[in-house]
Amino acid sequence: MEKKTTPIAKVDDLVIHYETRDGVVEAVNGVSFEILPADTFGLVGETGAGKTTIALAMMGLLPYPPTHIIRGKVEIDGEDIAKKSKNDMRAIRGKKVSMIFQDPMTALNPVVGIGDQIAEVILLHERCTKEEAQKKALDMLQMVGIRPERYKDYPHQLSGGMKQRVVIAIALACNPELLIADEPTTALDVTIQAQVLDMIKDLRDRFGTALMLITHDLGIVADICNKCAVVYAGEIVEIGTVEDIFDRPQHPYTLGLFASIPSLDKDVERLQPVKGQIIDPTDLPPYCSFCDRCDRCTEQCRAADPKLVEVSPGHFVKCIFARKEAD
Amino acid sequence: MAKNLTPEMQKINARRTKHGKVRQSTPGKEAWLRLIRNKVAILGMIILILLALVAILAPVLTPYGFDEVNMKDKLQFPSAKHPFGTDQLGRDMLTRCIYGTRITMPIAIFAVLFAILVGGVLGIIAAYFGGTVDNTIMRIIDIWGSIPGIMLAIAIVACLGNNETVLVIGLSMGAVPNMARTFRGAIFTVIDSDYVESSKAMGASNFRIMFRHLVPNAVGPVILAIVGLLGVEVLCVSALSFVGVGISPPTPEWGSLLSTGRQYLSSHAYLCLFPGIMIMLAVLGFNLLGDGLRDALDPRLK
Amino acid sequence: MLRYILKRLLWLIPVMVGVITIVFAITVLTPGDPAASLLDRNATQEQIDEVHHRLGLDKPVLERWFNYVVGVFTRFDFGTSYTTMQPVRDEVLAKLPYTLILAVVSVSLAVLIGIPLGVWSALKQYTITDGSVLFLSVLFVSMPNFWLSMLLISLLSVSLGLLPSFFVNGDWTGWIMPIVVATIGSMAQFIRITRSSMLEVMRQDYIRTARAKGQKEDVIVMHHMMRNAMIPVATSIGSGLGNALGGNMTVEIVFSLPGIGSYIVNAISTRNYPGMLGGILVTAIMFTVVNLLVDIAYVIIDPRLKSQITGKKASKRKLNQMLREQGVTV
Repeated sequence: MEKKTTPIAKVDDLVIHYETRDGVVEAVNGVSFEILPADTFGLVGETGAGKTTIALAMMGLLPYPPTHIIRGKVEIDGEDIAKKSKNDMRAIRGKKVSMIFQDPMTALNPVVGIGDQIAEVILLHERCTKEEAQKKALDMLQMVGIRPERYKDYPHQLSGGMKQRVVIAIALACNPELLIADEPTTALDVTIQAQVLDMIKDLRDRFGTALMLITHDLGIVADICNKCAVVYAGEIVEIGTVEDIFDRPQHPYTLGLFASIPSLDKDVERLQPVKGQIIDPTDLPPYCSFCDRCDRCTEQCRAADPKLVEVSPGHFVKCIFARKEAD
Repeated sequence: MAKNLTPEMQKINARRTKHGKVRQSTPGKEAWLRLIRNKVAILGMIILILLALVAILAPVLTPYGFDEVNMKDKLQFPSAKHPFGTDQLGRDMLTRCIYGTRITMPIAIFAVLFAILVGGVLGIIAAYFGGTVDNTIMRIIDIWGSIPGIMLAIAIVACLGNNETVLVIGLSMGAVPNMARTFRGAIFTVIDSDYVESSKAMGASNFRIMFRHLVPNAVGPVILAIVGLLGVEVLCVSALSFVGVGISPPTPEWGSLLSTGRQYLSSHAYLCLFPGIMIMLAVLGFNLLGDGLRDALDPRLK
Repeated sequence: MLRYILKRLLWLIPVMVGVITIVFAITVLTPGDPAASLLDRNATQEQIDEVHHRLGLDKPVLERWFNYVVGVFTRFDFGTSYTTMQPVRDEVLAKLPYTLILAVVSVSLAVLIGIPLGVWSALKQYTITDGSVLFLSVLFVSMPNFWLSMLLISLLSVSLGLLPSFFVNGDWTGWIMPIVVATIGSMAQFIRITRSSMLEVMRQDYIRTARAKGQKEDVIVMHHMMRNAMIPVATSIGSGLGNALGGNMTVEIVFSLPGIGSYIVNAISTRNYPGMLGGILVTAIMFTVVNLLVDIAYVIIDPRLKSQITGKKASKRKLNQMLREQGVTV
């Protein structure tokens, strides 16, 4: 039984749509979860499943237009961010919640030195002089393993892995309560991925930051998360502790994801990719979105959209075949 | 079908998908579908199509001849009989403006075509062969381009003779550097791509690679530059005849109409008004089309 | 940096030789005889020969070309005008200030007005403000500047009698209309380029990063967006100045402004080839120098280019000191 604390972030029945040239994309459809101070929460799903949209909504960074928050809310520290003023939101971003973006190549301003980009966030949230901010930025650089003499370098002089380190330094510079990492290693070379991930893990422990990790890599989730949710077409299809998801998965999509990763334990002839393409988010059905790719799909699946069912305490599955776990 | 569409979003959805979805088409078709859904581009195309019709139907549209002198009716202000008024020789200005379409537009179009031919070939060769060839060609292009296009055109036309062919050549020579750079840049963006490598590996000849693979894939920025250049050339044609080189008076080129009208500016300003509007419409047509194309060809815009 | 500038300045030499060659080639291909147009129709062959000799036209083309190039580089001699028999250099230098003033003042005004308008328009994307700014700018870009000049003359000089319809030396009001016309055209260009460049930058990830830091929106616009958006705009200032040098020719003619543009047109219509050559040559030199200046500006704004050309740039003292305290050798 976990210690009862107030969640840092709580997402409640969030529905987000956005306009494109090809119609309305139903990016997020009724997502709810909460992140406690000690959590490392993994959000797993294919590209285009709406993971990044959820993260941006939590930062209050969705551009309007074209994005519309249809319903639901995001609470940071128990307060609804939709009710906050722009200034209050600015005070939260970078300070309470910060974010590491997917592509380090484009996440840094190409015409500003990397050190100053770190100092910028410190200067915004902490009462200090420019020199103090620069000094702290220098510390941060060293903390992420970049030599201080590179303070004045510009992003183009750094490798991808080093840029991501700078992005991480920016995100952690003000000691946030929640760090959202949106596919932090996807754009990096495989050899660098482990390094960066270890560093995130290490810094999380050192700063005591809650972490929300967005990824499509189940291995990473198993490695560092304690809770996770599997997202498909903007819906959470299965959520629970890492043990729930990895040891007792129930949703066909989760099972499919596991079948698609190579394993050393099992000797399989061929890996099974999840068949079919991710569903067109401008054209979701009113019933279970996964039907077209599901082996077990029946008439009943196409009759109504299934609800999340609690199969064991804290483990929810959005499938009509979900069964209570026998203790 | 949808999960959570509120009525408001349904309305947006209906508006957005009115013309059907474009995503699953080929890139060219997708761009085309986006283009015809782009109001700015449509406006530009309408203007250009109207001008083309005016040029083709000129004799039908007006009862007068473009050089029909009628000294009795000279310098008449716009009226029902002469909607654009008459000039100092009593010629109907509407007729002359209409026939001007037949002169300015083809010259501009041919000048651009010729510039594409010369500049395009130079640019493609430079980009494809690279190295010394590229360096030599582009240095020459840089020198060439350091003479403002319109000055080069005026010099060529004034020296080599006032006729349409020379005008086309002169104007296109002024535009060659622009076209060469555009084509070179466009080719460079695709030259390293995998399918060129694979066709080289398969032993396709240089020529084949150039025209089958490189050219179609670099089309976007080139189309934009060409449409932009068409507008510029219309301006140049009329600027040239305005300063008195290129098309000379009896021919009703818009710029030379303005040049004549300038002498009557203090008393008969309408003589200057209408030819200028015609020039502006033509250039506007190309510019609007170009702006619309830019949006349609930009894959990142949603 | 100095080496780079020097290298670029040396590039002027081939540009000048090239331009001379191009214009020489045009004059050589020209049918007819410039001497004939200077004389009566029934001039004798001796008279024509005499003029040929005086103008140096009796020598072979290559020799003329070579002498001209040597003259330009050794004596700064641009030849002698066929019509006035004055050195072309002096004539062109007398015209140069007018063209330069018109180009520099109008482009500066266009930059000062156009860039903020373009930024503003981009920030207001999808609104009526943006739509109208965009529509007006595309309208002005499409307008021939000599036509706009005539409209203004008709309105401000003929109807209202406010401003002189042509330029007279000593009356500064004669500058107003040419400058306004030249400004409007290039301003519209700057608005369009700035706007699209801003829109491009606005959707970049690093803008999102800045927002994620909790940065204020006005700082994001000024600090993060503008510096990046100005990089393509800087190039367009160069081409704007280049266009102004050539394109204001018609404005000069309408307002009788005695600049290089009207000098060249004049020289062309009187078959004064040295005048034409000198005018075009000076324009090309200015054009090349402007481009050099723009490239230098470019290097200053964009660090990616700076390191290509100069390596690292020395920066603030305090920061260096701090780095030293950290045990870093600066």
